[in-house]
Amino acid sequence: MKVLIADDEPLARKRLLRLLNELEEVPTHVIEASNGFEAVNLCTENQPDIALLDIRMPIMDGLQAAIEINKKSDTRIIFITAYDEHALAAFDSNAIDYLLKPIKKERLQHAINKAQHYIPQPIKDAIAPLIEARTHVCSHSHNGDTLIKISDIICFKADQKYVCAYTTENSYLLSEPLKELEQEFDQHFIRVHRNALINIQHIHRLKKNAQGQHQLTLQHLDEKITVSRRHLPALRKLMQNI
Amino acid sequence: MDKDLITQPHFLPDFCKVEAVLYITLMAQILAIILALNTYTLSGEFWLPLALNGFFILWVSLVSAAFLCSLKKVTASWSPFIAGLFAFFIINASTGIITFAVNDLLPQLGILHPTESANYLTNLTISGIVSGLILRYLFVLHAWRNKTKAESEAKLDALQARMRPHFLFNSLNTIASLTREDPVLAETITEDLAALFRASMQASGRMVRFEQECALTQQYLNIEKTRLGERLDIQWDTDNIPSDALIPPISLQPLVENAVYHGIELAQHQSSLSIKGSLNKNIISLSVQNPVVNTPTHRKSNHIAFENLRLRLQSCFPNNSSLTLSSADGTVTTRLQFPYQQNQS
Repeated sequence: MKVLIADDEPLARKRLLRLLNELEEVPTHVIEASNGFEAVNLCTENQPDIALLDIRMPIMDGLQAAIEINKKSDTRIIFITAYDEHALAAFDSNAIDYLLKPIKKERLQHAINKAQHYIPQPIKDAIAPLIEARTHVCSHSHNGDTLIKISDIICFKADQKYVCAYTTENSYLLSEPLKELEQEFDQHFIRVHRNALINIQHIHRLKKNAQGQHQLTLQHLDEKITVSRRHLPALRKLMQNI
Repeated sequence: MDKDLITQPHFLPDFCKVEAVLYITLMAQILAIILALNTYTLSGEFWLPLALNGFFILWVSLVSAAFLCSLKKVTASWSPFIAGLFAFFIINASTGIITFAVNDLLPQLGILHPTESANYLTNLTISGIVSGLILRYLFVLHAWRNKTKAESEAKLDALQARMRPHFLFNSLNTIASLTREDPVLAETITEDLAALFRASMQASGRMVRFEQECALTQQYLNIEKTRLGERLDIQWDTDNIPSDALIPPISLQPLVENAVYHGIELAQHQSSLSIKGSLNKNIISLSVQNPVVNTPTHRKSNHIAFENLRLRLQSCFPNNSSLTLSSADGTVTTRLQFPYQQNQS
């Protein structure tokens, strides 16, 4: 049994490691991660059977990490939290189990036993309500995973099959539909076209071109974004209120 | 009837105070104006009755005040009812004496012409009604003040700083881990945690010495330092603040706790938490600074803790304190300002 433990506190990891070594079936491998992003990468690399994820971690929290891990592996997720503010108990414990700190050995044993038996299932829909909005999106490519800060993204553009996220330096392919991104990040982004979702912070100028089309110039992006007639009124209203 | 609301029997103001005398003079003149207006509607005269009434009432009130002032040590130990009755008696006796002086004594001595309008019955009736009303007003005002004071104290108790549950359980987890790794450190952390909880449970509005609050914050940081390791870098510079300065209990600690929770815990690398203090023109300024961590989700509990501290400060230093939050150059600073005070007020 391969187990990943993710916690930002060295002492918490140490204790968990000790508890794992006292279980009926001692894990053959224990992989340690100190934040959510590390956990995602190590899970892709090592495909552990079980991941014990602390919820409050730097860079990427346990909930977001769980969604990413769940996308690419059959790793069963067990959450760990100091205080159950996320009301994890309200969720189907067959899909998501959780442990409260300080963890009791019997409770850990029980959770591990259960995790070994349940069939992995997509957990995104179950966890999504617990997350207000992600701080990062993850781009998967042959070079590995890249984490992109939401605040660094100038716009998302849909191109046939993929969605591309543009930052000042680069562009990244994402596997998430534009519609879902629009719903999740509606606080900071606005849809201006069927294929474009833009960061409100980067809006620079709205201008009509020779063909009578409205085009939007964004800061730090050379390419102009076409605004469709359907989305024009909402954009105008927003620009007046900024 | 309202006796149970009275915590201090002394509902009568201190008649020896300049403020009270000024207030009494003002009340006397208002009463004189009312009476003169009444005379005006009856006989068309205003200024003479105003002068005479004003003079008469002022004498009555000042004589009563002088009596009540000189007897305040005696009346202080009496029940509100007896003290009130006594004051009523003093005021009406003064009215009687002054009426006697004006009507009989002074004319007999040939200093004053006897007046027709003033007689014992009218004077005593007016003085009886007015003094009764005033005493009743003072009594009700006192009861109301006691009640609001009790209410605000109860509110203050409810506002007493609460530790974040996260902090409690994380600390317990640290202790659980240390009991085998490092029992001595586990012992120290347990002691620090106990001290913090004891302080937060002692629900009193009384202020504490600055050095006490510093010690508490140090104990808090001791726990967090053990838990977070080298990720937490503390810069402490409050040498300029006198250790005897009074500060509401648990006021610096929550600011530091906030900084750790929002700024240090979620930062990837080592981050600095700086605590600075200065004393300038009798105003103490404390600031806690931490780097901004990019998280779009701001927890509401944060604002509640902040408002809570603001209210407690407001009650310790009415209109004289400030608590501000500002962010610039990738850091967040909370600043706490209040006057330098050495004694409980």
